[in-house]
Amino acid sequence: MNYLFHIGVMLGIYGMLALSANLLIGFGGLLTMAQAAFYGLGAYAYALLSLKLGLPFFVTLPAAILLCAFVGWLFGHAALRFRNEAFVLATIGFQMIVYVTLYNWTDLTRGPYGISGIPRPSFFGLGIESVPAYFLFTLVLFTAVLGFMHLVCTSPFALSLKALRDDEAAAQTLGICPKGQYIRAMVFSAAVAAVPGVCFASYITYIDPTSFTLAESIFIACILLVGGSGNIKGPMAGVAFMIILPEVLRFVGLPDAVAANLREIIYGVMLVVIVYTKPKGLAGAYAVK
Amino acid sequence: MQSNSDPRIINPVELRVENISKSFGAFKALHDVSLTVSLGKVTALVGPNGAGKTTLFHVIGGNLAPDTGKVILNGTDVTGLPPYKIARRHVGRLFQDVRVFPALTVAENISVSFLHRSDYSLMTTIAWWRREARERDRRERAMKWLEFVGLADKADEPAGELSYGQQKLLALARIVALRPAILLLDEPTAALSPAMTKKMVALIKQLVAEQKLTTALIEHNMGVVRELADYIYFLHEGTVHTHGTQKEVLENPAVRELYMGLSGGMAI
Ligand SMILES: Nc1ncnc2c1ncn2[C@@H]1O[C@H](COP(=O)(O)OP(=O)(O)OP(=O)(O)O)[C@@H](O)[C@H]1O
Ligand SMILES: [Mg+2]
Repeated sequence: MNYLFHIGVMLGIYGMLALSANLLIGFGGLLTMAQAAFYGLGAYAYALLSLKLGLPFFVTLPAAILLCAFVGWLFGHAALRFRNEAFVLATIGFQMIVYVTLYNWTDLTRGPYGISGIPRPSFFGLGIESVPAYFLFTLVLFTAVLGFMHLVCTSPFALSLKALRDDEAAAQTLGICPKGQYIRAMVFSAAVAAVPGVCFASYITYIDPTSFTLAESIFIACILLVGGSGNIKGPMAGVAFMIILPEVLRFVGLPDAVAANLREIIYGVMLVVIVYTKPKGLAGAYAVK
Repeated sequence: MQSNSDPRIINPVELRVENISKSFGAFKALHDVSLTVSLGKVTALVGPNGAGKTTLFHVIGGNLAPDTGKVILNGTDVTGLPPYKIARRHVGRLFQDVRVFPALTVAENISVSFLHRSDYSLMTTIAWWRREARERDRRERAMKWLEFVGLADKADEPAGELSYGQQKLLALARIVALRPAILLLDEPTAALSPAMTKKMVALIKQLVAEQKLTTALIEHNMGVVRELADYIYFLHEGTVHTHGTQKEVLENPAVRELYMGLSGGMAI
């Protein structure tokens, strides 16, 4: 039973990550490869603030969100001078910088040893300790993020982003400032990515830099490629598919000797087939270029 | 059509460019071009392919920085401002290649024109109860412009699925929904059927007449030029070769030789 709740928590965490990346990738048309960096910053901010300063959850969560928003704003100014491949490279660079910093700033982050003993959230002395309780807690966070992103994605701001995505020059002739809107998108996206970071750190209670690698960022982008982006359904379909499929493959009774490899192969082939046959993903509104 | 009480209607604006030069590498696309687009008039820019007409619009619209020279809007030097700032100064630019937002619906394409910086605040973004009224308002205004160009029945279709001619009409509607004081129209009738061309010309005529829009028109169709232009500049190899009234330019033997001769005896 705990196993199912664990999958539920993971669905929630990746659901929030996919929604945060969706604003840039699906609405802005900006293929970011730095989502795991903000995810990691959120996680480390929570871990350090609650361990070193003993701050309670209702302070650390907003603090992590604000930190990521601020870093997103700074990074946005640098990266959004670029578009297309150059932008992707800039985000990869940023992702590497954050990873290397987490890895090497050992005084603060303990580097490769990671940080253990991160407290679970507790409210009024009541800790959220069991996996089912944590699942419910994740569900609350996820629902809040989903509601927030729904509002953002249906806002006039999202309309301007979609216009920029479809044709930046034409959007400019209608008075839309690309850099301003894209930086806003980056700030929202980074701020939202802090939430799953906090959720992950407080759930696993141990973090090290290997959870926040470029590979993780690519995985998040893959969720959107497979599920689709530019709406809310797409990222949700992507998360369901990418998280649940590997779990299902565990139970299909493959011969033990080759099970692990075969699972990887089936998983890979299915991803390729989807991306190849459905340019907008399973349920998306936008074909990532 | 909207009434003249719209606060965004501003006084007519004159557009001048002075001594504009622009090179791409060693190639001089524009060389010392000066011209005036007069208040409330239609000024046509004609000339052979590659004469530099679109490049001049790119310079005026802020898409390209000129090497030398100035763009002057209503007496203010606006050279080098980015395109969105030029747009906010009530310049409506129609691109030569149609550029609708393909994934947005037809109505949303127009709604984009109504977005204002105040629509992007965090408060407006998350306070849905506050934005519904404005959203309805945008939709209503979009529908008015769609009726104007005859696309109201397509309001909820993706713009990318419209025919080429319909996309051109949509692009025009999107620009005029901005309530510009100046229109820059780059070949609005190119590749349109005769019926669509007629419709486009009628719409432009109506807009210019009703709203006193100062208009610069690039056009290869001399029938359209004859119908709309008050004044004509003939560009050739990046310079202003001749300018004057329709008669002065279109019946100038040198112009006929350079332009009509080149384009295979186009009837004028
Ligand atoms: N970005 C660029 N880089 C290099 N050359 C360019 C660039 N843009 C335009 N040119 C060249 O400048 C010249 C003028 O182009 P422009 O598009 O202004 O012509 P035009 O008068 O609008 O022609 P048409 O009637 O075919 O639209 C052309 O020879 C074109 O090849
Ligand atoms: Mg041209």
